[in-house]
Amino acid sequence: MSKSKGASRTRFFPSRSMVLLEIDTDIYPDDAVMGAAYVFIDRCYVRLEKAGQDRKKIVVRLKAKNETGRHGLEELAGGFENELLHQAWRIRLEQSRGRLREYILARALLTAQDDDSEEETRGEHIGQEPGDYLEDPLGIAVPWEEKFGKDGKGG
Amino acid sequence: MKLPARSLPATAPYFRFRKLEDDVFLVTNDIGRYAFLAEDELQDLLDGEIVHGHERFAELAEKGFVQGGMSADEQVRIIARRNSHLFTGTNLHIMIVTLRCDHRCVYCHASRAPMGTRGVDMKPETADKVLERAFETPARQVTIEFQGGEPLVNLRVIKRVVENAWKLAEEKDKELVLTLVSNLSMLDRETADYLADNGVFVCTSLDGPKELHDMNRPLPGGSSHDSVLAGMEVMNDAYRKRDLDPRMYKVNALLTVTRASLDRPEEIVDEYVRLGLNTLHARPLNPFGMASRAAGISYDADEYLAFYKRVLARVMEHALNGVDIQERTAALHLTKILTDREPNYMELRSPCGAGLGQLAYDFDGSVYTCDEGRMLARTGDDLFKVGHVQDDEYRDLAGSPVVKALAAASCVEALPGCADCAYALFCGVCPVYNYAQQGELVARQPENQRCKIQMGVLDELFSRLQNADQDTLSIFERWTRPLPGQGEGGST
Repeated sequence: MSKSKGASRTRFFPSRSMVLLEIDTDIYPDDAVMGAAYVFIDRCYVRLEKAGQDRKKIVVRLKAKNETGRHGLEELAGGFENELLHQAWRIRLEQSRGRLREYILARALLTAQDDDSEEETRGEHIGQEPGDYLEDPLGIAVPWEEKFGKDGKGG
Repeated sequence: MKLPARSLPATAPYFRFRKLEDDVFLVTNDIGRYAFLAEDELQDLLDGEIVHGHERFAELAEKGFVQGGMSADEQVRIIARRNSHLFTGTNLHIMIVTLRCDHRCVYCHASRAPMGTRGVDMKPETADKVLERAFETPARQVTIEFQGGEPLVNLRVIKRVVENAWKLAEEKDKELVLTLVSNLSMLDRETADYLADNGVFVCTSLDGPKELHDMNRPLPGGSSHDSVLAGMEVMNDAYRKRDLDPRMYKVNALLTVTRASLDRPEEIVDEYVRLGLNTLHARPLNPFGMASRAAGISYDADEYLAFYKRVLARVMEHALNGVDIQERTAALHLTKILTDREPNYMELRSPCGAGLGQLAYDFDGSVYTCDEGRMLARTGDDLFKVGHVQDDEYRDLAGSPVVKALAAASCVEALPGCADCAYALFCGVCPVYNYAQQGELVARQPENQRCKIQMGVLDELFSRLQNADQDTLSIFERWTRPLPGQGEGGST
């Protein structure tokens, strides 16, 4: 009736068209489990419960909307596990690359919304002479203490 | 191969790699440079042992894979050039001037309406509004692409737009590109003269030899192949009579690949060469619109790739024999691989062109992020509609939450399956495709057919680059030169 996968367990209940997946939240963050569960609501009735002694596991109950045998349940469980990995990886990438994406999108959206001509925009951002940004006209690179004094209230 | 025990050494800036074959690894970096390394050389790179005196040091330093070659300033300039599309604004405006079409193509992406249908032509007042919106863009260059249905069915509106567009371009000091995507069956000499006089580029469809083309593109009461050949001759003749540059002003064609095409790549390429076409743009079927419903014409990614490799091989064979012909998919990828120029092809940029690079205006004035989004709407799902030309100004359209969602979902630098892919800088994703195929905007790339095709095409190109002689390199470099009106900042 059940198979063990290290810390995770998957149990099939063909007579009830249902499968239970036990997810280790040390591997998959809660948000990934939630995201994957949401993707499956068109195919299943989905329920999530905390489990385990230290409540570090989440049990996902997938109950197929249409009567489904063992094979169908295995496909559901496998599909869910793949989606879980997809969601977890997206979250991790968001943490490591989210800022980069924000910079790129901000630039693209600003340009598309810009009232200035493209030429002016390009002149400001790309066409500048190499090293112009090193001149630091806004004083961004000037240390706080130097700019405002040691107490931070101006010097 | 062993990963280094500690974090990468300071001499090894971020790079991505992919195993191409036994003992051949491709490494790429964020400034779009690439190198082929043997396994022990890759190990040296990982271990920080590629320093002065190492036989690969000079090349890898010059390409920014290790410190000591290219300056940080130069790398910043390259990144800016490679991302020029972020500073361009929405330049491609696709006008669906009618849904009516005389052809009954088996794969019709554009979801046509029969010729007798009423109420599916764009009205002149709607066209005026489209033009008004298009010229509100901050982009310096505005490209208007007429599509359908068969756009020549509504020639009256095309002429109105052409005339007004030239006036607006002068008033607003914009560079204007006009493109017509047509099956040419309704092109007579008078229309060809008009298009040539007004600098309209023309693109058509040619699926191969007569029998194959006519099977894919049935024209009731006639042969589509005969008609398109006649149309090309009339149009090219009109360009020639005006002494227009034949490299720019020459009808080019799109090749839509069906199952019936798969066994005949050489014949298809030879047909293009026989007709004197300079570009062949092979395109797989997509899951939008009526194409998704057509039974018996589709295939999987592996079958398409086998076909594509034979097409490319045949095109190269002709090119090496002095024929002036290029395969457009390869040319677009090679532009991103061999130069720092962003060709701004909407499906191959990051983020994709949806809303930020292009807008598609349906015959009734509804506006979509892109033509793919519009095609999906023809099947009843208008998720990618961003507004209407009567109600929404350009700023509202380009600033729509739908556009923002698609931009976030197509930024390859932060997408699962793309961020670490060796081909990230030479590729692009289509969230509308992902939605149509997989039900969500962010693809599960290992199961995504489009990703599989792009990876296969890039594998083939890098394999050819690895083994290229000087003649092959010269041809590839020639393909990277921009051809105005032939996809630069366009969709065709």
